[in-house]
Amino acid sequence: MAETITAPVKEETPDVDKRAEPDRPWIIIVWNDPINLMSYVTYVFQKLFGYARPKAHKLMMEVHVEGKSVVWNGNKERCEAYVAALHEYGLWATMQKDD
Amino acid sequence: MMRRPFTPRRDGSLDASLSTTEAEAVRQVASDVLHELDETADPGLKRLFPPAYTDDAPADEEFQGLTRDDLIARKRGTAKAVLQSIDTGKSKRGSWSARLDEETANAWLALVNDARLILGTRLDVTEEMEPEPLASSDPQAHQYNLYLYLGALESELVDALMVGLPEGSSD
Repeated sequence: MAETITAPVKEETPDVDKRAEPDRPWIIIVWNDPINLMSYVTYVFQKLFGYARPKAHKLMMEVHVEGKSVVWNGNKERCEAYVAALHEYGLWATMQKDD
Repeated sequence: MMRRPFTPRRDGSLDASLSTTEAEAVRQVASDVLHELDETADPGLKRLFPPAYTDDAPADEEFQGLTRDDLIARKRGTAKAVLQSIDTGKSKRGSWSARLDEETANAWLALVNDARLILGTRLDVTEEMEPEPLASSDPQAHQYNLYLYLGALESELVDALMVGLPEGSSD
Protein backbone atom coordinates (compact mmCIF):
# COMPACT_ATOMS: atom_id res chain seq x y z
CA MET A 1 0.00 0.00 0.00
CA ALA A 2 1.32 3.48 -0.87
CA GLU A 3 2.51 5.68 1.99
CA THR A 4 -0.14 8.37 1.85
CA ILE A 5 -1.90 10.20 4.57
CA THR A 6 -5.47 9.19 4.78
CA ALA A 7 -8.20 9.89 7.17
CA PRO A 8 -8.48 7.21 9.77
CA VAL A 9 -11.19 4.75 8.99
CA LYS A 10 -12.87 2.45 11.38
CA GLU A 11 -11.30 -0.92 10.99
CA GLU A 12 -13.71 -3.51 9.79
CA THR A 13 -11.87 -6.55 10.88
CA PRO A 14 -14.06 -9.60 10.84
CA ASP A 15 -13.90 -11.76 13.92
CA VAL A 16 -11.34 -14.01 12.31
CA ASP A 17 -9.45 -14.53 15.53
CA LYS A 18 -12.51 -15.78 17.30
CA ARG A 19 -12.96 -18.25 14.47
CA ALA A 20 -9.53 -19.78 14.72
CA GLU A 21 -11.36 -22.82 16.07
CA PRO A 22 -14.04 -23.24 13.43
CA ASP A 23 -17.54 -23.63 14.61
CA ARG A 24 -18.22 -27.23 13.57
CA PRO A 25 -20.56 -28.51 16.23
CA TRP A 26 -22.22 -31.41 14.38
CA ILE A 27 -20.76 -34.86 13.89
CA ILE A 28 -21.67 -37.81 11.69
CA ILE A 29 -21.34 -41.28 13.20
CA VAL A 30 -21.30 -44.43 11.07
CA TRP A 31 -22.31 -47.56 12.98
CA ASN A 32 -21.18 -51.11 12.41
CA ASP A 33 -23.57 -53.52 10.76
CA PRO A 34 -23.10 -57.16 9.79
CA ILE A 35 -24.09 -56.74 6.13
CA ASN A 36 -22.03 -54.00 4.50
CA LEU A 37 -18.71 -55.25 3.15
CA MET A 38 -15.57 -53.72 4.62
CA SER A 39 -14.23 -52.84 1.18
CA TYR A 40 -17.57 -51.21 0.28
CA VAL A 41 -17.50 -48.99 3.37
CA THR A 42 -13.94 -47.89 2.54
CA TYR A 43 -15.02 -47.17 -1.04
CA VAL A 44 -17.94 -45.03 0.14
CA PHE A 45 -15.74 -42.96 2.48
CA GLN A 46 -13.29 -42.32 -0.37
CA LYS A 47 -15.93 -41.57 -2.95
CA LEU A 48 -18.23 -39.40 -0.84
CA PHE A 49 -15.78 -37.47 1.34
CA GLY A 50 -12.78 -37.62 -1.00
CA TYR A 51 -10.67 -39.17 1.76
CA ALA A 52 -7.39 -40.79 0.84
CA ARG A 53 -7.48 -44.59 0.99
CA PRO A 54 -5.48 -44.89 4.25
CA LYS A 55 -7.84 -42.52 6.06
CA ALA A 56 -10.94 -44.19 4.60
CA HIS A 57 -9.57 -47.60 5.61
CA LYS A 58 -8.78 -46.39 9.14
CA LEU A 59 -12.31 -45.04 9.63
CA MET A 60 -13.80 -48.27 8.27
CA MET A 61 -11.71 -50.30 10.74
CA GLU A 62 -12.94 -48.10 13.59
CA VAL A 63 -16.51 -48.84 12.52
CA HIS A 64 -15.77 -52.56 12.24
CA VAL A 65 -13.73 -53.03 15.43
CA GLU A 66 -15.10 -50.37 17.77
CA GLY A 67 -18.66 -50.43 16.46
CA LYS A 68 -18.76 -46.82 15.30
CA SER A 69 -16.66 -43.98 14.00
CA VAL A 70 -17.03 -40.23 13.69
CA VAL A 71 -16.46 -39.77 9.98
CA TRP A 72 -17.16 -36.08 9.47
CA ASN A 73 -17.95 -32.92 11.35
CA GLY A 74 -19.28 -29.61 10.21
CA ASN A 75 -22.38 -27.50 10.09
CA LYS A 76 -25.83 -29.00 10.42
CA GLU A 77 -26.92 -28.51 6.81
CA ARG A 78 -23.88 -30.24 5.32
CA CYS A 79 -24.13 -33.00 7.91
CA GLU A 80 -27.73 -33.64 6.89
CA ALA A 81 -26.76 -33.75 3.22
CA TYR A 82 -23.93 -36.22 3.93
CA VAL A 83 -26.14 -38.38 6.15
CA ALA A 84 -28.75 -38.53 3.36
CA ALA A 85 -25.98 -39.55 0.93
CA LEU A 86 -24.66 -42.20 3.35
CA HIS A 87 -28.19 -43.58 3.69
CA GLU A 88 -28.41 -43.75 -0.09
CA TYR A 89 -25.23 -45.86 0.02
CA GLY A 90 -26.89 -48.05 2.64
CA LEU A 91 -24.61 -47.11 5.50
CA TRP A 92 -26.05 -46.78 8.96
CA ALA A 93 -25.23 -43.13 9.67
CA THR A 94 -26.59 -40.79 12.31
CA MET A 95 -25.77 -37.21 13.27
CA GLN A 96 -25.74 -35.36 16.54
CA LYS A 97 -24.44 -32.25 18.20
CA ASP A 98 -20.89 -32.69 19.39
CA ASP A 99 -21.26 -31.74 23.05
CA MET B 1 -17.51 -66.71 -10.88
CA MET B 2 -14.53 -68.36 -12.48
CA ARG B 3 -12.88 -65.20 -13.79
CA ARG B 4 -13.12 -61.63 -12.71
CA PRO B 5 -16.51 -60.34 -13.85
CA PHE B 6 -15.64 -56.63 -13.99
CA THR B 7 -12.68 -55.12 -15.79
CA PRO B 8 -12.04 -51.43 -15.10
CA ARG B 9 -11.23 -49.14 -18.02
CA ARG B 10 -9.35 -45.85 -18.03
CA ASP B 11 -12.48 -43.75 -18.47
CA GLY B 12 -14.07 -45.12 -15.29
CA SER B 13 -16.37 -47.54 -17.08
CA LEU B 14 -16.32 -51.30 -16.45
CA ASP B 15 -16.47 -54.18 -18.88
CA ALA B 16 -18.89 -56.62 -17.27
CA SER B 17 -18.95 -60.27 -18.19
CA LEU B 18 -21.22 -62.75 -16.44
CA SER B 19 -22.92 -65.99 -17.31
CA THR B 20 -26.46 -65.48 -18.59
CA THR B 21 -27.64 -67.26 -15.41
CA GLU B 22 -25.87 -64.67 -13.27
CA ALA B 23 -27.16 -61.77 -15.37
CA GLU B 24 -30.69 -63.19 -15.04
CA ALA B 25 -30.21 -63.45 -11.27
CA VAL B 26 -29.16 -59.78 -11.11
CA ARG B 27 -32.15 -58.85 -13.28
CA GLN B 28 -34.47 -60.70 -10.91
CA VAL B 29 -32.87 -59.00 -7.91
CA ALA B 30 -33.24 -55.54 -9.51
CA SER B 31 -36.85 -56.30 -10.38
CA ASP B 32 -37.53 -57.52 -6.82
CA VAL B 33 -35.96 -54.43 -5.26
CA LEU B 34 -38.00 -52.21 -7.57
CA HIS B 35 -41.22 -53.90 -6.43
CA GLU B 36 -40.20 -53.97 -2.80
CA LEU B 37 -39.57 -50.23 -2.78
CA ASP B 38 -43.36 -49.92 -2.99
CA GLU B 39 -43.60 -51.73 0.35
CA THR B 40 -41.50 -49.46 2.49
CA ALA B 41 -43.40 -50.53 5.62
CA ASP B 42 -41.86 -54.01 5.24
CA PRO B 43 -39.38 -54.66 8.09
CA GLY B 44 -36.78 -55.83 5.56
CA LEU B 45 -36.96 -52.42 3.94
CA LYS B 46 -36.56 -50.57 7.22
CA ARG B 47 -32.81 -51.07 7.02
CA LEU B 48 -32.73 -49.02 3.81
CA PHE B 49 -34.12 -46.01 5.65
CA PRO B 50 -32.28 -45.69 8.94
CA PRO B 51 -32.87 -42.79 11.33
CA ALA B 52 -30.56 -39.79 11.05
CA TYR B 53 -31.20 -38.65 14.61
CA THR B 54 -31.48 -41.28 17.34
CA ASP B 55 -32.00 -38.90 20.25
CA ASP B 56 -34.28 -36.33 18.67
CA ALA B 57 -37.52 -37.77 17.29
CA PRO B 58 -38.95 -34.50 15.91
CA ALA B 59 -35.67 -33.73 14.11
CA ASP B 60 -35.63 -37.22 12.64
CA GLU B 61 -39.23 -36.93 11.52
CA GLU B 62 -38.37 -33.69 9.76
CA PHE B 63 -35.27 -35.26 8.18
CA GLN B 64 -37.24 -38.28 6.94
CA GLY B 65 -39.94 -35.98 5.61
CA LEU B 66 -37.37 -34.05 3.61
CA THR B 67 -35.33 -36.99 2.30
CA ARG B 68 -37.44 -40.18 2.17
CA ASP B 69 -39.29 -39.62 -1.11
CA ASP B 70 -36.10 -38.52 -2.85
CA LEU B 71 -34.23 -41.54 -1.50
CA ILE B 72 -36.93 -43.93 -2.73
CA ALA B 73 -36.96 -42.22 -6.14
CA ARG B 74 -33.18 -42.51 -6.42
CA LYS B 75 -33.23 -46.18 -5.44
CA ARG B 76 -35.93 -46.82 -8.03
CA GLY B 77 -33.85 -45.04 -10.65
CA THR B 78 -30.87 -47.17 -9.69
CA ALA B 79 -32.79 -50.43 -10.06
CA LYS B 80 -34.17 -49.30 -13.42
CA ALA B 81 -30.69 -48.38 -14.68
CA VAL B 82 -29.48 -51.88 -13.80
CA LEU B 83 -32.44 -53.52 -15.56
CA GLN B 84 -31.82 -51.42 -18.65
CA SER B 85 -28.10 -52.23 -18.71
CA ILE B 86 -28.86 -55.95 -18.56
CA ASP B 87 -31.29 -55.61 -21.45
CA THR B 88 -28.80 -53.71 -23.59
CA GLY B 89 -25.97 -56.17 -22.90
CA LYS B 90 -25.07 -58.94 -25.31
CA SER B 91 -26.06 -62.51 -24.55
CA LYS B 92 -24.31 -65.22 -26.48
CA ARG B 93 -23.78 -68.93 -25.79
CA GLY B 94 -24.45 -68.67 -22.09
CA SER B 95 -22.42 -65.50 -21.59
CA TRP B 96 -23.64 -62.00 -21.01
CA SER B 97 -21.45 -58.92 -21.44
CA ALA B 98 -21.87 -55.16 -21.40
CA ARG B 99 -19.90 -52.00 -20.94
CA LEU B 100 -21.15 -50.17 -17.86
CA ASP B 101 -20.35 -46.47 -17.78
CA GLU B 102 -19.25 -45.13 -14.40
CA GLU B 103 -22.75 -44.06 -13.39
CA THR B 104 -24.27 -47.40 -14.36
CA ALA B 105 -21.48 -49.32 -12.62
CA ASN B 106 -22.23 -47.36 -9.46
CA ALA B 107 -25.92 -48.13 -9.95
CA TRP B 108 -25.02 -51.84 -9.97
CA LEU B 109 -23.07 -51.37 -6.77
CA ALA B 110 -25.92 -49.52 -5.06
CA LEU B 111 -28.52 -52.03 -6.26
CA VAL B 112 -26.53 -55.07 -5.18
CA ASN B 113 -25.88 -53.46 -1.81
CA ASP B 114 -29.56 -52.60 -1.32
CA ALA B 115 -30.52 -56.17 -2.20
CA ARG B 116 -28.00 -57.52 0.32
CA LEU B 117 -29.34 -55.18 3.00
CA ILE B 118 -32.89 -56.40 2.36
CA LEU B 119 -31.90 -60.08 2.24
CA GLY B 120 -29.47 -59.82 5.14
CA THR B 121 -32.06 -58.11 7.34
CA ARG B 122 -34.66 -60.78 6.54
CA LEU B 123 -32.15 -63.55 7.20
CA ASP B 124 -31.00 -61.78 10.36
CA VAL B 125 -27.36 -62.31 9.39
CA THR B 126 -24.59 -61.81 11.91
CA GLU B 127 -20.86 -61.30 11.42
CA GLU B 128 -20.31 -64.74 12.92
CA MET B 129 -22.32 -66.56 10.23
CA GLU B 130 -20.27 -68.89 8.05
CA PRO B 131 -20.09 -67.72 4.44
CA GLU B 132 -20.87 -71.25 3.29
CA PRO B 133 -23.83 -72.03 1.04
CA LEU B 134 -26.72 -73.82 2.74
CA ALA B 135 -27.90 -77.22 1.54
CA SER B 136 -30.89 -76.92 -0.78
CA SER B 137 -33.02 -78.76 1.79
CA ASP B 138 -32.70 -75.76 4.11
CA PRO B 139 -35.75 -73.51 3.75
CA GLN B 140 -33.49 -70.44 3.75
CA ALA B 141 -31.06 -71.87 1.20
CA HIS B 142 -32.29 -69.86 -1.78
CA GLN B 143 -32.18 -66.51 0.00
CA TYR B 144 -28.94 -67.15 1.88
CA ASN B 145 -27.10 -68.52 -1.13
CA LEU B 146 -28.29 -65.53 -3.19
CA TYR B 147 -27.07 -63.27 -0.38
CA LEU B 148 -23.64 -64.92 -0.54
CA TYR B 149 -23.50 -64.70 -4.33
CA LEU B 150 -24.36 -60.99 -4.24
CA GLY B 151 -21.65 -60.45 -1.61
CA ALA B 152 -19.06 -62.01 -3.91
CA LEU B 153 -20.35 -59.98 -6.87
CA GLU B 154 -20.29 -56.78 -4.84
CA SER B 155 -16.75 -57.44 -3.68
CA GLU B 156 -15.67 -57.74 -7.32
CA LEU B 157 -17.52 -54.53 -8.20
CA VAL B 158 -15.89 -52.59 -5.37
CA ASP B 159 -12.42 -53.84 -6.37
CA ALA B 160 -13.02 -52.78 -9.97
CA LEU B 161 -14.44 -49.37 -9.03
CA MET B 162 -11.66 -48.71 -6.49
CA VAL B 163 -9.19 -48.70 -9.38
CA GLY B 164 -10.75 -45.46 -10.61
CA LEU B 165 -10.35 -43.67 -7.27
CA PRO B 166 -7.12 -41.87 -6.40
CA GLU B 167 -5.12 -43.75 -3.75
CA GLY B 168 -4.00 -40.68 -1.92
CA SER B 169 -6.33 -37.79 -2.62
CA SER B 170 -6.20 -35.15 0.07
CA ASP B 171 -8.62 -35.17 2.93
